[in-house]
Amino acid sequence: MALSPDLFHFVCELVRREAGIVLEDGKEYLVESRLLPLARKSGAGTTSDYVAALRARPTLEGRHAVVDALTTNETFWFRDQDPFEALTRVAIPELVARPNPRRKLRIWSAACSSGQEAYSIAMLMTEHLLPLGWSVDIVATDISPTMVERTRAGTYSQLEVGRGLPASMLIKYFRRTGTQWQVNENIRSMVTVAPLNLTQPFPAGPAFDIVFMRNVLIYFDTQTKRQIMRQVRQVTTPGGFMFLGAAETTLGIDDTWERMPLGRFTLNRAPGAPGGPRPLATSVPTASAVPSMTFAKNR
Amino acid sequence: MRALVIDDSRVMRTLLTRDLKKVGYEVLQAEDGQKALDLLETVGDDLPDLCTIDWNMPVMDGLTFVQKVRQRPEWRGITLMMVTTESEHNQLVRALAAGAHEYLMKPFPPEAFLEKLDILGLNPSRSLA
Amino acid sequence: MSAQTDTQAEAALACVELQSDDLVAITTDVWSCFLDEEVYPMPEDAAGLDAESVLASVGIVGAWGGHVLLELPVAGAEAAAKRMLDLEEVTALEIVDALGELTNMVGGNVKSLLPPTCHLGLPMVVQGTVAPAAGTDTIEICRAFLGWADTTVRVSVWAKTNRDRNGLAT
Repeated sequence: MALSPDLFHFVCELVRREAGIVLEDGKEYLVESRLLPLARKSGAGTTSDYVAALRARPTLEGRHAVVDALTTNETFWFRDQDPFEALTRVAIPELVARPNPRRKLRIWSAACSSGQEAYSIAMLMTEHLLPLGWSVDIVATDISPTMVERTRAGTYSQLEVGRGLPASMLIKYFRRTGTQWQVNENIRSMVTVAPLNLTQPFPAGPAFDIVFMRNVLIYFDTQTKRQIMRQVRQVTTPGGFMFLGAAETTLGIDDTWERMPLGRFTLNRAPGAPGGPRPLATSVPTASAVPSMTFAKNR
Repeated sequence: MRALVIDDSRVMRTLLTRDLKKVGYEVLQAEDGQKALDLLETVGDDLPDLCTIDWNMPVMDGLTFVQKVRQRPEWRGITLMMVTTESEHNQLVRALAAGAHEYLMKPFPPEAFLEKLDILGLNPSRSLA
Repeated sequence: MSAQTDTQAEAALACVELQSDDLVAITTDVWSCFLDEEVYPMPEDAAGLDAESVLASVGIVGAWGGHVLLELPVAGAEAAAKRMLDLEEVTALEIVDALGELTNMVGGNVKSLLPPTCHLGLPMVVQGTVAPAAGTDTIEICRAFLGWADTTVRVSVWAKTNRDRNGLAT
Protein backbone atom coordinates (compact mmCIF):
# COMPACT_ATOMS: atom_id res chain seq x y z
CA MET A 1 0.00 0.00 0.00
CA ALA A 2 1.70 3.18 -1.21
CA LEU A 3 2.47 6.09 1.06
CA SER A 4 0.16 9.03 0.42
CA PRO A 5 1.79 12.30 -0.71
CA ASP A 6 1.10 14.09 2.55
CA LEU A 7 2.51 11.24 4.68
CA PHE A 8 5.55 11.11 2.41
CA HIS A 9 6.05 14.85 2.82
CA PHE A 10 5.72 14.49 6.57
CA VAL A 11 8.65 12.05 6.50
CA CYS A 12 10.64 14.32 4.15
CA GLU A 13 10.13 17.29 6.43
CA LEU A 14 11.03 15.21 9.49
CA VAL A 15 14.40 14.07 8.14
CA ARG A 16 15.13 17.48 6.66
CA ARG A 17 14.59 19.11 10.04
CA GLU A 18 16.34 16.48 12.13
CA ALA A 19 19.24 15.57 9.85
CA GLY A 20 19.40 18.05 6.98
CA ILE A 21 18.64 15.27 4.55
CA VAL A 22 16.77 16.11 1.36
CA LEU A 23 14.49 13.43 -0.07
CA GLU A 24 13.14 14.28 -3.47
CA ASP A 25 9.83 13.18 -4.96
CA GLY A 26 10.41 9.78 -6.50
CA LYS A 27 12.01 8.45 -3.31
CA GLU A 28 8.70 7.14 -1.97
CA TYR A 29 9.76 3.53 -2.62
CA LEU A 30 12.90 4.06 -0.54
CA VAL A 31 10.91 5.45 2.36
CA GLU A 32 8.37 2.62 2.17
CA SER A 33 10.92 -0.18 2.09
CA ARG A 34 13.18 1.32 4.76
CA LEU A 35 10.28 2.00 7.15
CA LEU A 36 8.48 -1.30 6.63
CA PRO A 37 10.56 -3.23 9.23
CA LEU A 38 9.78 -0.48 11.75
CA ALA A 39 6.08 -0.66 10.89
CA ARG A 40 6.05 -4.44 11.37
CA LYS A 41 7.89 -4.22 14.70
CA SER A 42 5.46 -1.64 16.02
CA GLY A 43 2.49 -3.78 14.97
CA ALA A 44 1.23 -1.07 12.64
CA GLY A 45 1.16 -3.43 9.65
CA THR A 46 1.67 -0.93 6.86
CA THR A 47 4.15 1.91 6.49
CA SER A 48 1.21 4.31 6.04
CA ASP A 49 -0.29 3.33 9.38
CA TYR A 50 3.09 3.64 11.05
CA VAL A 51 3.81 7.10 9.65
CA ALA A 52 0.28 8.29 10.41
CA ALA A 53 0.67 7.12 14.01
CA LEU A 54 4.02 8.88 14.30
CA ARG A 55 2.56 12.08 12.90
CA ALA A 56 -0.24 11.94 15.48
CA ARG A 57 2.29 11.29 18.26
CA PRO A 58 5.78 12.37 17.21
CA THR A 59 7.84 10.84 20.01
CA LEU A 60 11.58 11.48 20.14
CA GLU A 61 12.23 7.76 19.89
CA GLY A 62 9.96 7.40 16.88
CA ARG A 63 11.58 10.33 15.06
CA HIS A 64 15.08 8.94 15.73
CA ALA A 65 14.02 5.52 14.50
CA VAL A 66 12.82 6.99 11.21
CA VAL A 67 16.02 9.01 10.72
CA ASP A 68 18.11 5.90 11.53
CA ALA A 69 16.16 3.76 9.08
CA LEU A 70 16.54 6.25 6.26
CA THR A 71 20.21 6.99 6.78
CA THR A 72 21.71 3.63 7.68
CA ASN A 73 24.05 2.33 5.04
CA GLU A 74 25.24 -1.22 4.83
CA THR A 75 28.91 -0.93 5.46
CA PHE A 76 31.52 -3.54 4.81
CA TRP A 77 35.14 -3.87 5.71
CA PHE A 78 37.50 -2.18 3.28
CA ARG A 79 34.51 -1.12 1.18
CA ASP A 80 35.41 -0.79 -2.51
CA GLN A 81 39.03 -1.69 -1.64
CA ASP A 82 40.68 0.92 -3.93
CA PRO A 83 40.39 3.78 -1.39
CA PHE A 84 42.26 1.68 1.16
CA GLU A 85 44.93 0.89 -1.38
CA ALA A 86 45.23 4.64 -1.99
CA LEU A 87 45.40 5.22 1.76
CA THR A 88 48.35 2.91 2.34
CA ARG A 89 50.17 3.33 -1.00
CA VAL A 90 49.78 7.08 -1.59
CA ALA A 91 48.33 9.12 1.27
CA ILE A 92 50.32 7.65 4.16
CA PRO A 93 53.72 7.66 2.41
CA GLU A 94 53.20 11.28 1.40
CA LEU A 95 52.11 12.35 4.89
CA VAL A 96 55.01 10.67 6.70
CA ALA A 97 57.46 12.34 4.29
CA ARG A 98 56.32 15.75 5.49
CA PRO A 99 57.73 17.55 8.54
CA ASN A 100 55.72 16.44 11.58
CA PRO A 101 57.54 16.70 14.90
CA ARG A 102 54.94 14.74 16.85
CA ARG A 103 54.90 11.96 14.20
CA LYS A 104 51.16 11.69 14.66
CA LEU A 105 48.33 11.64 12.13
CA ARG A 106 44.67 12.46 12.69
CA ILE A 107 42.02 10.69 10.63
CA TRP A 108 38.28 11.34 10.58
CA SER A 109 35.68 8.78 9.54
CA ALA A 110 32.64 11.00 9.00
CA ALA A 111 29.25 9.23 8.82
CA CYS A 112 30.89 6.13 10.26
CA SER A 113 27.65 4.10 10.53
CA SER A 114 28.38 0.89 12.49
CA GLY A 115 32.13 1.50 12.45
CA GLN A 116 33.56 -0.89 9.87
CA GLU A 117 35.28 1.94 8.00
CA ALA A 118 36.90 3.40 11.12
CA TYR A 119 38.17 0.02 12.28
CA SER A 120 39.36 -0.90 8.78
CA ILE A 121 41.45 2.26 8.90
CA ALA A 122 42.68 1.41 12.41
CA MET A 123 43.79 -2.08 11.32
CA LEU A 124 45.67 -0.66 8.32
CA MET A 125 47.35 1.97 10.49
CA THR A 126 48.46 -0.78 12.87
CA GLU A 127 50.08 -2.61 9.95
CA HIS A 128 51.46 0.31 7.92
CA LEU A 129 51.87 3.40 10.12
CA LEU A 130 52.66 2.25 13.63
CA PRO A 131 55.68 0.18 12.54
CA LEU A 132 57.19 3.45 11.24
CA GLY A 133 57.16 4.79 14.79
CA TRP A 134 54.20 7.06 14.11
CA SER A 135 50.92 7.17 16.00
CA VAL A 136 47.35 7.93 14.94
CA ASP A 137 44.14 9.32 16.40
CA ILE A 138 41.01 8.22 14.59
CA VAL A 139 37.75 10.07 15.14
CA ALA A 140 34.53 8.41 14.03
CA THR A 141 31.28 10.37 13.95
CA ASP A 142 27.70 9.72 12.94
CA ILE A 143 24.42 11.61 13.26
CA SER A 144 22.74 8.58 14.80
CA PRO A 145 23.23 7.88 18.54
CA THR A 146 22.50 4.22 17.80
CA MET A 147 25.36 4.05 15.31
CA VAL A 148 27.67 5.87 17.73
CA GLU A 149 26.96 3.17 20.32
CA ARG A 150 27.41 0.38 17.78
CA THR A 151 30.75 1.81 16.68
CA ARG A 152 31.92 2.20 20.29
CA ALA A 153 30.99 -1.41 21.02
CA GLY A 154 32.97 -2.63 18.00
CA THR A 155 30.95 -5.85 18.03
CA TYR A 156 29.77 -7.56 14.86
CA SER A 157 27.81 -10.63 13.86
CA GLN A 158 29.38 -13.58 12.07
CA LEU A 159 27.73 -12.47 8.83
CA GLU A 160 29.09 -8.94 9.22
CA VAL A 161 32.69 -10.06 9.75
CA GLY A 162 32.40 -12.21 6.63
CA ARG A 163 31.96 -9.18 4.40
CA GLY A 164 35.22 -8.01 2.86
CA LEU A 165 37.44 -8.72 5.87
CA PRO A 166 40.53 -10.88 5.23
CA ALA A 167 40.55 -13.90 7.51
CA SER A 168 44.10 -13.11 8.66
CA MET A 169 42.86 -9.77 10.00
CA LEU A 170 39.83 -11.37 11.61
CA ILE A 171 41.98 -13.71 13.69
CA LYS A 172 44.55 -11.04 14.48
CA TYR A 173 42.27 -8.19 15.50
CA PHE A 174 39.05 -9.78 16.74
CA ARG A 175 37.92 -12.20 19.39
CA ARG A 176 34.63 -14.04 19.73
CA THR A 177 32.12 -13.10 22.40
CA GLY A 178 29.12 -15.46 22.29
CA THR A 179 27.76 -15.45 18.75
CA GLN A 180 29.51 -12.14 17.98
CA TRP A 181 33.02 -11.00 17.11
CA GLN A 182 34.49 -7.97 18.84
CA VAL A 183 37.36 -5.75 17.73
CA ASN A 184 40.28 -6.08 20.15
CA GLU A 185 40.75 -3.39 22.76
CA ASN A 186 44.06 -2.13 21.31
CA ILE A 187 42.30 -1.34 18.01
CA ARG A 188 39.17 0.08 19.63
CA SER A 189 41.30 2.39 21.75
CA MET A 190 42.62 4.05 18.56
CA VAL A 191 39.11 5.28 17.72
CA THR A 192 37.15 8.01 19.50
CA VAL A 193 33.46 7.99 18.62
CA ALA A 194 31.08 10.93 18.90
CA PRO A 195 27.75 12.08 17.47
CA LEU A 196 27.94 14.74 14.79
CA ASN A 197 25.45 16.29 12.37
CA LEU A 198 27.40 17.28 9.26
CA THR A 199 24.91 20.04 8.39
CA GLN A 200 25.65 21.83 11.67
CA PRO A 201 28.87 23.75 12.44
CA PHE A 202 31.66 21.33 13.27
CA PRO A 203 33.00 21.42 16.84
CA ALA A 204 36.42 23.03 17.29
CA GLY A 205 39.41 20.70 17.41
CA PRO A 206 42.78 19.91 15.86
CA ALA A 207 42.87 19.55 12.10
CA PHE A 208 42.72 16.22 10.30
CA ASP A 209 45.32 14.86 7.89
CA ILE A 210 42.78 12.51 6.32
CA VAL A 211 38.99 12.70 6.10
CA PHE A 212 36.83 9.79 4.95
CA MET A 213 33.40 11.06 3.97
CA ARG A 214 32.01 8.29 1.85
CA ASN A 215 28.48 7.75 0.61
CA VAL A 216 26.87 10.39 2.80
CA LEU A 217 26.84 13.49 0.58
CA ILE A 218 24.24 11.81 -1.65
CA TYR A 219 21.64 12.66 0.98
CA PHE A 220 22.12 16.40 0.61
CA ASP A 221 21.30 19.06 -1.97
CA THR A 222 24.10 20.83 -3.82
CA GLN A 223 24.16 23.85 -1.55
CA THR A 224 24.49 21.70 1.58
CA LYS A 225 27.16 19.54 -0.13
CA ARG A 226 29.12 22.70 -0.84
CA GLN A 227 28.79 23.92 2.72
CA ILE A 228 29.88 20.57 4.16
CA MET A 229 32.86 20.26 1.83
CA ARG A 230 33.95 23.80 2.68
CA GLN A 231 33.78 22.99 6.38
CA VAL A 232 35.75 19.78 5.80
CA ARG A 233 38.46 21.72 4.00
CA GLN A 234 38.62 24.13 6.97
CA VAL A 235 39.33 21.25 9.37
CA THR A 236 41.81 19.53 7.03
CA THR A 237 45.54 20.25 7.24
CA PRO A 238 47.13 21.88 4.17
CA GLY A 239 47.62 19.14 1.61
CA GLY A 240 45.44 16.78 3.66
CA PHE A 241 43.41 14.12 1.90
CA MET A 242 39.64 13.64 1.50
CA PHE A 243 38.18 10.27 0.47
CA LEU A 244 34.70 10.23 -1.10
CA GLY A 245 32.47 7.35 -2.13
CA ALA A 246 32.87 5.45 -5.39
CA ALA A 247 30.33 7.50 -7.37
CA GLU A 248 31.10 10.84 -5.71
CA THR A 249 33.22 13.78 -6.81
CA THR A 250 34.22 17.29 -5.80
CA LEU A 251 33.58 18.49 -9.36
CA GLY A 252 30.90 21.13 -9.49
CA ILE A 253 30.83 21.36 -5.71
CA ASP A 254 34.24 22.54 -4.54
CA ASP A 255 36.99 22.94 -7.12
CA THR A 256 39.66 24.01 -4.61
CA TRP A 257 40.50 20.34 -3.99
CA GLU A 258 43.26 18.90 -6.15
CA ARG A 259 41.94 15.74 -7.81
CA MET A 260 44.41 12.84 -8.11
CA PRO A 261 43.09 9.99 -10.29
CA LEU A 262 44.37 6.55 -9.25
CA GLY A 263 42.80 4.07 -11.65
CA ARG A 264 39.15 3.75 -10.67
CA PHE A 265 39.51 5.88 -7.55
CA THR A 266 40.15 9.62 -7.22
CA LEU A 267 41.99 10.97 -4.22
CA ASN A 268 41.27 14.58 -3.24
CA ARG A 269 44.04 16.71 -1.75
CA ALA A 270 43.42 20.01 0.02
CA PRO A 271 45.35 23.04 -1.25
CA GLY A 272 48.54 24.12 0.47
CA ALA A 273 50.48 20.88 0.32
CA PRO A 274 54.10 21.44 1.37
CA GLY A 275 56.09 21.51 -1.86
CA GLY A 276 53.04 22.53 -3.90
CA PRO A 277 50.80 20.42 -6.11
CA ARG A 278 52.67 17.84 -8.14
CA PRO A 279 51.75 14.77 -10.17
CA LEU A 280 51.66 11.45 -8.40
CA ALA A 281 54.96 9.59 -8.20
CA THR A 282 53.25 6.28 -7.50
CA SER A 283 50.82 4.60 -9.86
CA VAL A 284 48.45 2.37 -8.00
CA PRO A 285 47.42 -0.93 -9.57
CA THR A 286 43.70 -1.35 -9.93
CA ALA A 287 43.54 -4.93 -8.72
CA SER A 288 42.24 -5.56 -5.25
CA ALA A 289 44.04 -3.67 -2.52
CA VAL A 290 43.97 -6.32 0.07
CA PRO A 291 46.01 -9.12 -1.52
CA SER A 292 49.01 -6.84 -1.74
CA MET A 293 48.64 -6.03 1.92
CA THR A 294 47.85 -9.36 3.45
CA PHE A 295 47.51 -12.23 1.01
CA ALA A 296 51.01 -12.04 -0.40
CA LYS A 297 52.45 -12.63 3.05
CA ASN A 298 50.57 -15.91 3.41
CA ARG A 299 52.15 -17.55 0.42
CA MET B 1 40.50 -19.87 -14.37
CA ARG B 2 39.85 -23.24 -12.78
CA ALA B 3 38.47 -24.12 -9.39
CA LEU B 4 38.08 -27.31 -7.38
CA VAL B 5 35.11 -27.39 -4.99
CA ILE B 6 35.54 -29.88 -2.15
CA ASP B 7 32.53 -30.62 0.08
CA ASP B 8 30.69 -33.79 1.06
CA SER B 9 27.37 -31.98 0.58
CA ARG B 10 26.13 -32.21 -2.98
CA VAL B 11 23.97 -29.10 -2.61
CA MET B 12 26.92 -27.04 -1.36
CA ARG B 13 29.04 -28.25 -4.28
CA THR B 14 26.21 -27.27 -6.64
CA LEU B 15 25.82 -23.79 -5.17
CA LEU B 16 29.54 -22.97 -5.08
CA THR B 17 29.96 -24.31 -8.61
CA ARG B 18 27.18 -22.00 -9.80
CA ASP B 19 28.71 -18.98 -8.06
CA LEU B 20 32.12 -19.72 -9.60
CA LYS B 21 30.79 -20.38 -13.09
CA LYS B 22 28.92 -17.06 -12.99
CA VAL B 23 32.22 -15.21 -12.72
CA GLY B 24 33.94 -17.27 -15.38
CA TYR B 25 35.48 -20.31 -13.70
CA GLU B 26 35.68 -23.87 -14.98
CA VAL B 27 34.79 -26.00 -11.96
CA LEU B 28 35.75 -29.49 -10.81
CA GLN B 29 34.24 -31.17 -7.74
CA ALA B 30 35.36 -33.65 -5.12
CA GLU B 31 33.41 -35.02 -2.16
CA ASP B 32 36.25 -35.46 0.29
CA GLY B 33 39.89 -34.57 0.79
CA GLN B 34 41.23 -37.86 -0.52
CA LYS B 35 39.27 -37.67 -3.77
CA ALA B 36 40.46 -34.08 -4.13
CA LEU B 37 44.11 -35.12 -3.73
CA ASP B 38 43.61 -37.92 -6.25
CA LEU B 39 42.16 -35.41 -8.69
CA LEU B 40 45.11 -33.02 -8.27
CA GLU B 41 47.48 -35.90 -9.01
CA THR B 42 45.72 -36.66 -12.27
CA VAL B 43 45.37 -33.18 -13.76
CA GLY B 44 49.11 -32.70 -14.26
CA ASP B 45 49.88 -29.12 -15.21
CA ASP B 46 46.22 -28.18 -15.41
CA LEU B 47 46.07 -27.37 -11.73
CA PRO B 48 43.16 -25.35 -10.37
CA ASP B 49 43.86 -21.76 -9.38
CA LEU B 50 41.54 -22.09 -6.40
CA CYS B 51 40.22 -24.80 -4.07
CA THR B 52 37.21 -24.24 -1.83
CA ILE B 53 37.40 -26.67 1.05
CA ASP B 54 34.84 -27.85 3.59
CA TRP B 55 36.29 -28.91 6.93
CA ASN B 56 34.17 -31.84 8.11
CA MET B 57 34.22 -34.58 5.48
CA PRO B 58 34.55 -38.34 5.66
CA VAL B 59 37.79 -40.15 4.68
CA MET B 60 39.97 -37.00 4.77
CA ASP B 61 38.91 -33.72 6.33
CA GLY B 62 39.62 -30.25 4.96
CA LEU B 63 42.41 -29.36 7.37
CA THR B 64 44.35 -32.50 6.47
CA PHE B 65 43.83 -31.74 2.77
CA VAL B 66 45.29 -28.25 3.24
CA GLN B 67 48.32 -29.64 5.10
CA LYS B 68 48.99 -32.20 2.37
CA VAL B 69 48.66 -29.66 -0.45
CA ARG B 70 51.06 -27.27 1.24
CA GLN B 71 53.67 -30.02 1.50
CA ARG B 72 53.96 -30.20 -2.29
CA PRO B 73 56.14 -27.45 -3.86
CA GLU B 74 54.58 -28.03 -7.28
CA TRP B 75 51.16 -27.17 -5.80
CA ARG B 76 52.24 -23.91 -4.18
CA GLY B 77 50.41 -21.83 -6.72
CA ILE B 78 46.99 -23.16 -5.70
CA THR B 79 44.97 -20.79 -3.52
CA LEU B 80 43.17 -22.55 -0.67
CA MET B 81 39.95 -21.16 0.83
CA MET B 82 38.12 -22.91 3.66
CA VAL B 83 34.32 -22.77 3.38
CA THR B 84 32.99 -24.26 6.58
CA THR B 85 30.70 -24.09 9.59
CA GLU B 86 33.72 -24.27 11.91
CA SER B 87 33.71 -20.78 13.39
CA GLU B 88 35.67 -20.90 16.62
CA HIS B 89 38.56 -18.44 16.67
CA ASN B 90 41.02 -21.27 17.20
CA GLN B 91 39.73 -23.17 14.17
CA LEU B 92 40.46 -20.17 11.96
CA VAL B 93 43.92 -19.91 13.50
CA ARG B 94 44.59 -23.61 12.86
CA ALA B 95 43.43 -23.42 9.25
CA LEU B 96 45.51 -20.36 8.37
CA ALA B 97 48.52 -21.81 10.23
CA ALA B 98 48.17 -24.99 8.15
CA GLY B 99 48.41 -22.84 5.04
CA ALA B 100 44.87 -21.91 4.03
CA HIS B 101 44.83 -18.47 2.43
CA GLU B 102 41.24 -17.48 3.22
CA TYR B 103 38.36 -18.63 5.38
CA LEU B 104 34.63 -18.18 4.76
CA MET B 105 32.22 -19.16 7.52
CA LYS B 106 28.86 -20.80 6.73
CA PRO B 107 26.21 -19.51 6.33
CA PHE B 108 27.18 -16.80 3.88
CA PRO B 109 25.35 -14.81 1.20
CA PRO B 110 26.67 -15.18 -2.38
CA GLU B 111 28.10 -11.64 -2.26
CA ALA B 112 30.38 -12.59 0.64
CA PHE B 113 31.89 -15.41 -1.43
CA LEU B 114 32.64 -12.98 -4.26
CA GLU B 115 34.17 -10.52 -1.82
CA LYS B 116 36.56 -13.27 -0.68
CA LEU B 117 37.51 -13.84 -4.33
CA ASP B 118 38.17 -10.10 -4.60
CA ILE B 119 40.39 -10.23 -1.52
CA LEU B 120 42.36 -13.05 -3.13
CA GLY B 121 42.57 -11.23 -6.46
CA LEU B 122 40.80 -14.22 -8.02
CA ASN B 123 37.58 -12.68 -9.32
CA PRO B 124 37.91 -12.78 -13.12
CA SER B 125 34.75 -10.73 -13.59
CA ARG B 126 36.16 -7.73 -11.73
CA SER B 127 37.11 -5.39 -14.58
CA LEU B 128 40.52 -3.77 -14.45
CA ALA B 129 40.46 -0.07 -15.41
CA MET C 1 7.55 -33.53 31.09
CA SER C 2 8.09 -35.02 34.54
CA ALA C 3 9.63 -33.01 37.35
CA GLN C 4 12.76 -35.14 37.15
CA THR C 5 13.33 -34.48 33.46
CA ASP C 6 12.69 -30.76 34.06
CA THR C 7 15.53 -30.79 36.58
CA GLN C 8 17.76 -32.70 34.21
CA ALA C 9 17.02 -30.23 31.44
CA GLU C 10 17.82 -27.30 33.71
CA ALA C 11 21.07 -28.90 34.79
CA ALA C 12 22.07 -29.62 31.21
CA LEU C 13 21.18 -26.12 30.10
CA ALA C 14 23.00 -24.52 33.03
CA CYS C 15 26.26 -25.99 31.85
CA VAL C 16 25.96 -24.42 28.44
CA GLU C 17 25.05 -20.81 27.70
CA LEU C 18 22.49 -21.49 25.03
CA GLN C 19 19.30 -19.50 24.65
CA SER C 20 16.32 -19.88 22.39
CA ASP C 21 17.31 -16.47 20.96
CA ASP C 22 20.61 -17.99 19.83
CA LEU C 23 18.74 -20.65 17.87
CA VAL C 24 16.55 -17.96 16.33
CA ALA C 25 19.59 -15.86 15.36
CA ILE C 26 21.44 -18.81 13.85
CA THR C 27 18.42 -20.06 11.90
CA THR C 28 17.70 -16.51 10.73
CA ASP C 29 21.19 -16.25 9.25
CA VAL C 30 21.05 -19.67 7.57
CA TRP C 31 17.58 -19.03 6.11
CA SER C 32 18.39 -15.53 4.88
CA CYS C 33 21.66 -16.57 3.23
CA PHE C 34 20.51 -19.77 1.54
CA LEU C 35 16.74 -19.51 1.24
CA ASP C 36 16.47 -15.73 1.01
CA GLU C 37 13.63 -15.93 3.53
CA GLU C 38 12.92 -14.25 6.83
CA VAL C 39 12.00 -16.38 9.80
CA TYR C 40 9.94 -15.20 12.73
CA PRO C 41 9.38 -16.77 16.13
CA MET C 42 5.93 -18.26 16.60
CA PRO C 43 4.08 -19.91 19.45
CA GLU C 44 4.68 -23.62 19.28
CA ASP C 45 2.03 -25.48 17.36
CA ALA C 46 2.61 -29.18 17.63
CA ALA C 47 -0.29 -29.80 15.26
CA GLY C 48 1.87 -28.50 12.43
CA LEU C 49 4.35 -31.34 12.82
CA ASP C 50 2.76 -34.75 12.48
CA ALA C 51 3.50 -38.18 11.07
CA GLU C 52 4.63 -36.67 7.80
CA SER C 53 7.52 -34.53 8.93
CA VAL C 54 11.11 -34.37 7.86
CA LEU C 55 13.57 -34.66 10.72
CA ALA C 56 17.21 -33.77 10.21
CA SER C 57 19.79 -34.07 12.95
CA VAL C 58 23.51 -33.63 13.37
CA GLY C 59 25.42 -35.06 16.32
CA ILE C 60 27.93 -33.26 18.49
CA VAL C 61 30.57 -35.15 20.44
CA GLY C 62 33.47 -34.11 22.63
CA ALA C 63 33.40 -31.99 25.75
CA TRP C 64 29.64 -31.85 25.28
CA GLY C 65 27.45 -34.56 23.76
CA GLY C 66 24.09 -34.37 22.06
CA HIS C 67 22.54 -33.34 18.79
CA VAL C 68 20.81 -30.52 16.96
CA LEU C 69 17.48 -31.28 15.31
CA LEU C 70 15.50 -29.53 12.60
CA GLU C 71 11.88 -30.55 12.01
CA LEU C 72 9.84 -29.39 9.02
CA PRO C 73 6.52 -30.45 7.52
CA VAL C 74 7.15 -32.44 4.33
CA ALA C 75 5.88 -29.57 2.19
CA GLY C 76 8.20 -27.21 4.06
CA ALA C 77 11.23 -29.44 3.50
CA GLU C 78 10.41 -29.60 -0.19
CA ALA C 79 10.02 -25.81 -0.32
CA ALA C 80 13.37 -25.37 1.42
CA ALA C 81 15.14 -27.62 -1.07
CA LYS C 82 13.53 -25.87 -4.04
CA ARG C 83 14.56 -22.48 -2.65
CA MET C 84 18.07 -23.52 -1.82
CA LEU C 85 18.69 -25.07 -5.23
CA ASP C 86 16.55 -22.56 -7.13
CA LEU C 87 14.63 -25.39 -8.85
CA GLU C 88 10.96 -25.84 -9.73
CA GLU C 89 11.05 -29.54 -8.85
CA VAL C 90 13.31 -31.47 -6.49
CA THR C 91 14.02 -35.14 -5.99
CA ALA C 92 13.90 -36.91 -2.63
CA LEU C 93 17.70 -37.06 -2.69
CA GLU C 94 17.91 -33.31 -3.20
CA ILE C 95 15.56 -32.74 -0.27
CA VAL C 96 17.70 -34.97 1.96
CA ASP C 97 20.86 -33.20 0.89
CA ALA C 98 19.43 -29.70 1.30
CA LEU C 99 18.02 -30.42 4.75
CA GLY C 100 21.26 -32.12 5.71
CA GLU C 101 23.29 -29.07 4.79
CA LEU C 102 20.89 -26.63 6.47
CA THR C 103 21.12 -28.74 9.64
CA ASN C 104 24.89 -28.93 9.29
CA MET C 105 25.05 -25.13 9.23
CA VAL C 106 22.69 -24.66 12.19
CA GLY C 107 24.49 -27.40 14.12
CA GLY C 108 27.94 -26.03 13.38
CA ASN C 109 26.99 -22.62 14.70
CA VAL C 110 25.36 -24.13 17.79
CA LYS C 111 28.57 -26.08 18.38
CA SER C 112 30.58 -22.86 18.49
CA LEU C 113 28.51 -21.81 21.51
CA LEU C 114 29.20 -25.03 23.41
CA PRO C 115 32.17 -25.76 25.67
CA PRO C 116 35.33 -26.46 23.68
CA THR C 117 36.33 -28.86 22.18
CA CYS C 118 33.47 -30.46 20.31
CA HIS C 119 33.19 -32.09 16.93
CA LEU C 120 30.30 -32.11 14.50
CA GLY C 121 29.08 -35.40 13.04
CA LEU C 122 27.50 -35.93 9.66
CA PRO C 123 23.83 -35.00 9.23
CA MET C 124 21.08 -37.61 9.07
CA VAL C 125 17.71 -36.96 7.49
CA VAL C 126 14.58 -39.08 7.83
CA GLN C 127 10.88 -38.71 7.21
CA GLY C 128 8.62 -39.81 10.02
CA THR C 129 7.94 -39.10 13.65
CA VAL C 130 11.02 -40.28 15.48
CA ALA C 131 14.19 -38.20 15.21
CA PRO C 132 17.26 -40.13 14.00
CA ALA C 133 19.22 -39.65 17.20
CA ALA C 134 16.39 -39.63 19.70
CA GLY C 135 16.41 -42.00 22.59
CA THR C 136 15.60 -42.15 26.26
CA ASP C 137 19.13 -40.98 26.97
CA THR C 138 18.68 -37.53 25.43
CA ILE C 139 16.81 -34.55 26.76
CA GLU C 140 15.72 -31.39 25.00
CA ILE C 141 17.49 -28.38 26.50
CA CYS C 142 16.65 -25.60 24.07
CA ARG C 143 14.16 -24.99 21.29
CA ALA C 144 12.78 -22.42 18.88
CA PHE C 145 9.67 -22.61 16.72
CA LEU C 146 9.82 -20.45 13.66
CA GLY C 147 7.55 -19.52 10.79
CA TRP C 148 8.85 -18.83 7.31
CA ALA C 149 7.06 -18.46 3.97
CA ASP C 150 3.84 -20.44 4.55
CA THR C 151 5.44 -23.08 6.70
CA THR C 152 7.43 -23.71 9.87
CA VAL C 153 10.67 -25.08 11.23
CA ARG C 154 11.34 -26.33 14.73
CA VAL C 155 14.94 -26.15 15.90
CA SER C 156 15.98 -27.97 19.07
CA VAL C 157 19.12 -28.94 20.92
CA TRP C 158 19.27 -32.26 22.80
CA ALA C 159 21.81 -33.27 25.44
CA LYS C 160 22.90 -36.80 26.23
CA THR C 161 22.00 -37.67 29.77
CA ASN C 162 23.77 -41.00 30.18
CA ARG C 163 26.94 -39.13 31.01
CA ASP C 164 26.78 -37.04 34.16
CA ARG C 165 23.21 -35.92 33.47
CA ASN C 166 24.50 -32.67 31.97
CA GLY C 167 25.57 -33.90 28.56
CA LEU C 168 29.13 -33.33 29.71
CA ALA C 169 31.72 -36.07 29.72
CA THR C 170 32.57 -37.30 33.19
